[in-house]
Order: sequence, then structure tokens, then C-alpha cells
Amino acid sequence: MNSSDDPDLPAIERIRNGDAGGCRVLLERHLDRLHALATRLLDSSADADEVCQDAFMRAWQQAPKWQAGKARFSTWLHQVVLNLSRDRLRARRASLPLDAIAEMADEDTPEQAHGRADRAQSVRNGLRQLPERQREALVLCHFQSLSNIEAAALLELSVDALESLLARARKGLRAALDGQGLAPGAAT
Amino acid sequence: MTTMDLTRFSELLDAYGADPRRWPAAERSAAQDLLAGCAQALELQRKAALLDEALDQYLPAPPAPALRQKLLGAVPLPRPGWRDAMTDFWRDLGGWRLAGPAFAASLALGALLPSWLDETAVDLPDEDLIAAVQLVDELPEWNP
Repeated sequence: MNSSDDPDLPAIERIRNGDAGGCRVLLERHLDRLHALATRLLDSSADADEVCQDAFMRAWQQAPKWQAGKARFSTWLHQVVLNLSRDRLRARRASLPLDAIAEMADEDTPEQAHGRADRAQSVRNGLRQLPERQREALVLCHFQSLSNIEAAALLELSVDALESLLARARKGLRAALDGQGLAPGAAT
Repeated sequence: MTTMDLTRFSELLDAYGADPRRWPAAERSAAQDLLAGCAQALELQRKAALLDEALDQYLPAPPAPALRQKLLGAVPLPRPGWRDAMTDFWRDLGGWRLAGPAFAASLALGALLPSWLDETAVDLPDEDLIAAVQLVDELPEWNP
């Protein structure tokens, strides 16, 4: 993970010098992407809002103390969102029976759900059914476009283990889509 | 140059999908070389791309503008540096209009005070002063 070419360093330097404009730069650059990450992990836009709020509050505190060279700031932000999302999923599991969790995940109104493309909704359903670690691996590598090395580091896995998770995730998703009559084809 | 066989290429597709940008950087070149000369590899990639296309259709709605505004509202206010702190301190003192004359007056007082004190000082004879300090016995009041 090479952080020497971290594109966020100039904005961080501005924050360190007391320039709030640096915060705006980080927000514009990362909010949409991190919100999408949290939404896909949690299957809830409202929960993603709260996760992003917490994550950026931490970012404002962390930025002035940030030490370049350890990791990219965006990778750290991904880690924060990942951890906060895991906390929320754990809290959901602890406080609600499984049936209620499944119902809560379907937070769209019938009108909104009707407006979505069938396949997008099927992918969403398929992602929801994946085991948590597989979903994390797939979201980080496919949707967030992190490299295999970055994703493996975030998930505290070897690259081989990540690859195994990804293969199982894609296989599971393909099976889920097949089950809904939306077969996307098989790689092998 | 490393080469890649079809088995490994298939594993790459199973894990990372059809888009070469998602393939591991260390193996991308070898995979693309295989792809360039192998119809079977192309067919595998085409099938893997179908799942990628399905995945790409799930686009969560972007965050509401209200969230952006809320986060911008929570941006910490700039912390003043030492220059700003000195400027604030000077302004609190009244700036040049008040602090300037006060500073000039204190300088003038400092210059004039020693000469004023010289004029009002009491002259004591040096020997008597030393004897008084040292409580010398020769002084008449100690020898009744």
C-alpha cells in the first residue's frame, strides 16, 4: 500500500494549517463512494447516512494528526466505514430476531422497489444473502475498486484467502441470480 | 516474462471478474497476453462479464444533499495560529490607537524617572551609611 502518492495529502495539510476548506475537499472526494460502500454493506441508506456522519467526524479529528507514509487516507476511511458498518450489523443481530432483520433490510417503499430494475434488485437481494465476509470482499474489490492487496489488508486476510472469499461470493451471487431466473452466465 | 495457463486465468475470472483493471497487478500482463491469443480465454471472460454487468446495475442512491450540508456544518472551525493569536491580542489591547500612545508614554516615563529620582534622593555621608549598615562600634550611640 503505497501512500507516498496519496492524493489527499494536500487537503490534509490544509486542515493541519487550520483551513476548513481541506475538509470540504475530502468530503467532496469521498462522501459518495463511502456512502455507497456503507449502503451496500448494510443494505440501508439511512444507516449509511449515520455511518458516514460518524466516519467524517473521526476524519476531521484524525486529519490534523495524520502521518503520511503508513497508509492512504482513503484506505483509512474505508477501514473506518467498514468497522462502523460491522458494529451496526452486530447491533442489529443482537437486538432483533432474524426475521425482523430481513424485514428491516427491505426498507424501500413498494413504489421505490417497483421503480428499481429487476436485476439491480436481484443483485441487492443476492448481496444481502451472502455471508458478511464474502459481501465485504466483493463490495471492496468490485464496487470500491480496491486492489487485492488493499482489500486483503482491510479485511486482515492473505491475498489467497481474499481470492477464495471473492470466488465464493461471486459463485453465491450467480446462484442467487440463477434462482431468480436472471442467470448471468458462469465463468467456467 | 511469466506466462499464465487457462486454469489460473479461470481462477482470476472467478475471483475478480472480467475487467482487467480488477485483476491483481502482478498477473494482469500475463493474463492479457493469454487473452490476446486464446479463444477459450476470451469465451471465459465473456461469461464472467455477464455477472459483472449484473453487479454494476446495483447503484445505491447517492447521499441526500442534507447529509452533505450537515457534514459541512460540522467541519471544525479553523484553529488560530500564533500570528492570528498575536493579532487578536493586539486588537484586544485597542490596536495602535490605544496601545501605541500607552507604549510611548511608558517609554518616556522610563527615561525620565531616573533623573527625577536623582533630584529627590537623600544624600547620606558614605562613611556613616556604611557604619550604620555594619553596626560599627565606633559610632557614639553604641559607646555611651
